Order: sequence, then structure tokens, then C-alpha cells
Amino acid sequence: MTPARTARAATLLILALAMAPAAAMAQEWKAYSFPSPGFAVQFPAPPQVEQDSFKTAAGQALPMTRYVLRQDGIVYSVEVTDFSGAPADKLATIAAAEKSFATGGKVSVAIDARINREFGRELSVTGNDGSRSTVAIFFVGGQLVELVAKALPPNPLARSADANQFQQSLQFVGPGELLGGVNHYGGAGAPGVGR
Amino acid sequence: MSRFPLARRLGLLPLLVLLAQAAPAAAHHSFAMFDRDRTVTLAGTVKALQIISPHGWLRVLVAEAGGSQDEWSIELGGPFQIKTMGLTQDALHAGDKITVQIHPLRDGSYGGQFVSATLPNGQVIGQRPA
Repeated sequence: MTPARTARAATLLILALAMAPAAAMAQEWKAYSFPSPGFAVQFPAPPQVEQDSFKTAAGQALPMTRYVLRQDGIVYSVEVTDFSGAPADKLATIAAAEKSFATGGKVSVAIDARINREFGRELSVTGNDGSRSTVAIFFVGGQLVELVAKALPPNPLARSADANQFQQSLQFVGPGELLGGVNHYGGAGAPGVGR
Repeated sequence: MSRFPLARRLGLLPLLVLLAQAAPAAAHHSFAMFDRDRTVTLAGTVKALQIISPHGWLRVLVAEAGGSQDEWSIELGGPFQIKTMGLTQDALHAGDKITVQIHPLRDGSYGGQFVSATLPNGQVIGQRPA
């Protein structure tokens, strides 16, 4: 092996070791990576992967994959809709998604947000059913990504700490990108788990 | 033959490691949901310290009038930043009394961005309390 290759290998090894997951006092929450749609997020338990469809404003049904966990009065979900079959304007698609949340309740906070190099919107919605939703909407790589942590009544505020962690842990993963403390596995929809 | 000797390349390793560890926390997101114009002080007990990527989390139970407890989730930096400022399993245990200053969530939910904390031994970590 040439010195250059040796140095490169040593660098990769040291970086991998340095990014090894740290222990925690209570370790229910873990980071789950989904390389195929290209995101990672923390869940308090393993999510289920469901196939569904998303109807656009023009009435077109597009394939959507939902990564969902229903636990302790909160529905944690990340819905990824593939717009490759219906090319869409990024900002208009995000705006339409935001508008759809407003129809189900009162939006108390709506603000521009950034995750990694992507820009989108983050919302807080008090639902007509008494629920409380913490939302992130992004359009990344031709996909609409909608994260929702919906705390159900009664007293959804009591569970807002979990909704906060779910929303704020979302990150986007480029092809082959290395994320610290998060393991990656291949296969569409197959999660990798990190701590 | 390489233009740069092996030793010179290896000399960059510590810097690369530091950059790699700091990057997830520094660049992950915009903290837009937190009101950085406001600082709130919470006094409570530690429920959990989660040292996890891309951001760690401190869960604190805050007693309310009437005897109930509200659970708060406080977003920390990345694992390397957490260790660097002295927040470790040895320094903090479940049930410890703690005072934490945060930038609260804009919607009034029980969450915030970590600013500083006073640990059970009196040590102050993070930014100096306002």
C-alpha cells in the first residue's frame, strides 16, 4: 500500500472511531437512518414503514412512504412523497403542504427553517380535535418530506417534550454521506440505527 | 510520489477529527423554532441525559403548583460539544437537582435550546447565566 493510501485509510479509521456512538444514561431514543429516501431522525422506538399515496393539488396520486410510530399518545411520522412523476416547484409544493395543515386547525407558529443545506418551513398547529402538532416541511431531491409529531388529547402539551425532540432531530442524508453516530443500511425503506 | 510526505498528512488528523465531530451540531439546522431573544430558567431534576447524534438531549422534570411535574426536552450540541463542556454521565445522574437556562420554543411547548446549566456540584457549564 502506498503512503498516500495508508494515510487515507488511517484517516477514515480514526474518523470512524471518533464518531462511534456515546453511551447515555437513558437510551430509549435512537437515530434511525433511511439512506434511500435520504433522511435520518430520532424515534423513541423503531418505526413502521407503510406505503400510501399522496394527492396533489391537481388531483394526481403520487407514491408516498410513511415512517410512523404510535406511542404514548403521540403519532410520530415522516411522510416522503416521490414527485419524480410530477415535476413540481419546490417552494410552491412546500406552500401547498403548509396550507393543508392550516385547514385542520390553528397554526400558532410558522417559520422558515434550515436543515443541513435545505430550506423549508416549521409549524406548530393546534388541531380542531384538541391535538397539538409539531411539523417540518421540506422538499429534497424531488421528494416532499413532511415530519409531524401529533400529540393527542387530552393534555397534549404534557407530551410536547417528545414532539420537540422528534422534530429537531431530522436531518437529510446525501448519497453515501457519513453521519456521526448513525449507521446506514441499504435497501429502500430499511432503517439503520444509531445511538 | 506524493507531493506531501505521509507525516504531514497524518499531522492533519487531529484537525480533521475535530471538524468531523463538531460539524453535525454546528451545521445541522437553524434552531428557528427556538426564541433566541428570550432566556428562561428552569429549576428541576434530571430525568435523562441522552448523548446522541446529531444533538444530545437533556430531559428535566420541573415541579408545578399542584404537585404535577412537567417534562422538558432541552436540545444540546453534538456529542463532542457535550463532552467538551463537561456534561458527562459522571457529572450528571437521574434525580440530580439542576438549574438550566434555555431559549424556549416559540409555541410554548416544553422544550428549548440549551444555554447554560448549574450542576449539582455548583459548576456552571455553557454560557454564563444572564
